[in-house]
Amino acid sequence: MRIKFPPFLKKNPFELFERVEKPVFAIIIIATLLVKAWLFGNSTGEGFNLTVALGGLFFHELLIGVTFMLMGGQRLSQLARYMILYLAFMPNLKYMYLTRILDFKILFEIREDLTNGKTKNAVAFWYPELTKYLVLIIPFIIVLIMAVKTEYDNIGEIKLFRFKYMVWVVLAAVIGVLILPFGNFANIGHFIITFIMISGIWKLWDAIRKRKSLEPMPVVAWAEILLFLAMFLKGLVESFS
Amino acid sequence: MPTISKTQKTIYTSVISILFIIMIGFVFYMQTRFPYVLEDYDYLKNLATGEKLSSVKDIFMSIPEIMRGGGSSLSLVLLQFILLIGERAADFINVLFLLIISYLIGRCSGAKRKNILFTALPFFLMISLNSDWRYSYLWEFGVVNYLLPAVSFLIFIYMIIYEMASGDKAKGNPAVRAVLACVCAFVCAWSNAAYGLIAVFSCILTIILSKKVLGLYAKRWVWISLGLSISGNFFYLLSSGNFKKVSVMNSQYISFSIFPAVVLALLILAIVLRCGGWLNAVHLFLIGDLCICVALRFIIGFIPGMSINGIQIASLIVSLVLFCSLLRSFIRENPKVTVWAYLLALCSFLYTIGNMLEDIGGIS
Repeated sequence: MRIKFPPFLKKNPFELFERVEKPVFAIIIIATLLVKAWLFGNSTGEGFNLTVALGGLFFHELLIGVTFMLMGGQRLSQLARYMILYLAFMPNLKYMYLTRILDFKILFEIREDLTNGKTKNAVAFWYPELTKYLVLIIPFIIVLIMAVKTEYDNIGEIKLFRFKYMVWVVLAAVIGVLILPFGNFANIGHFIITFIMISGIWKLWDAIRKRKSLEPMPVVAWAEILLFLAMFLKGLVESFS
Repeated sequence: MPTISKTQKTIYTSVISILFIIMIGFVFYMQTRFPYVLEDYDYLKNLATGEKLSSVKDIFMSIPEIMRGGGSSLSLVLLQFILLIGERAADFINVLFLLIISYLIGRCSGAKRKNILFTALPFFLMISLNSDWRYSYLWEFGVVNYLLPAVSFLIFIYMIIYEMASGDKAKGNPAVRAVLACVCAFVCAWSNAAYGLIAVFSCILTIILSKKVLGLYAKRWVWISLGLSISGNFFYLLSSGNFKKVSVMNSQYISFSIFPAVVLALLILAIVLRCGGWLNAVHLFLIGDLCICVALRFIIGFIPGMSINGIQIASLIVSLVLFCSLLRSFIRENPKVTVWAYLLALCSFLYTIGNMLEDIGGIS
């Protein structure tokens, strides 16, 4: 039985806030940048360091910006969604992970347990840092894939298994294997895998947003705002806890 | 509409059933490895004499001390009963209640009684989405205070959901449903203040939704349940020990983030709306309940004498009910994506088993 929605759900939030839409998205982006700068600045363990904060933020946002443009992002709203996803899912940012990329001797140091005969603990199946985030990222991706596999409108089923997407999946799998013997690669590997997954989630979500829904648009818009608000809160709470 | 074949469905169901049995075995094994800890030892004795619990008479003698200590007198008396019957029996009871809760989540989501996917999936997700699951589900004190109230709470909201979904076509004896709902509202409120508050708001939400969305007046038992859940909260607060600084009610025993479960539920909501799904009154009710849980999670920290233990588990359970309910609707509209739902169950299973193996084998 179709239900009557309450009056407040019949007003499209994007029409309500049309004039302030761009400033709101800009505030969200700036807020995520400030949080990331704070995380980087405090990652050395010796209080807040402004140079580390700005340096980490610069390299990080360069990576995000390039990836965003390569994935075909154009609008401020798309960037805001990407930043929220990033904040919600990326493990705590540490400056040392960035510096380790430059020092291959540390990065590719073989795990000690492999060389001293204690193989039982050598191969790590689970990292609490990563699995804490995988527990949500994996179901997220599965649910999104379910969505793109449906076909009820003239867009039809969205093609998922294209060569360019498969390359990224293979890359993530290779990195996942590299994590096992190279102990210091673990954190960089986590970062790269999570980054690939977040980008994948953003791309899948962007594809789904093109669909026409059967429920009134305001209801859909409110549901999406609720979802991204929850993810934004999740990112903020977990960054500062 | 393309559907999955009967053979495929049989295979998927068989695989999930096997995984479910394996998981129950693992959980039971983990339960047997989890000893009595912390407050279990405090309540393992006659609180009046200090002697070890040996009979029901000791429990009745402990009641005045329980009231002085604070917390839910109902839950703590139940804890003593469980501790009295022995550790092995307590292990069985804990796992049984986990199964009952998973089954009830499935029923609240609208799944039929024999639908194994929507009993196994909540079971797996309850563990995987709760990083403090050992103290939430295996620790006796945690179970009676935070998990058992979920049973009465789920039965209560199932009655609401059943009435909303069935309307005039409801089967069975309405008087029995009404009495069950009222009793469960009172019991869950008396067992845990957080569940009690959610029960109160659920009744108010039902009254509003019935009028505004369905154009009907809420049944009388909803109003009675509202009164009883307020009374239950009152009974909970009756223990004089609840207002002392060091009281059971104030202490934080379990801690995990509710956001993964909440975000997952909101994701499936957005997906359903984007991909040709419809919302019904039950979904609106569950969404409202979820918003109440999240709001209470943040507000409760500021209320003197309240801790966030119960609200975390309650939020997880409401999130799972909403998630399963919307997932079920989604699969019904798009049967060919059913395999992905089974894959989701498999991933939850693998994650949880990995955690347990890490705990058992010491593998990092």
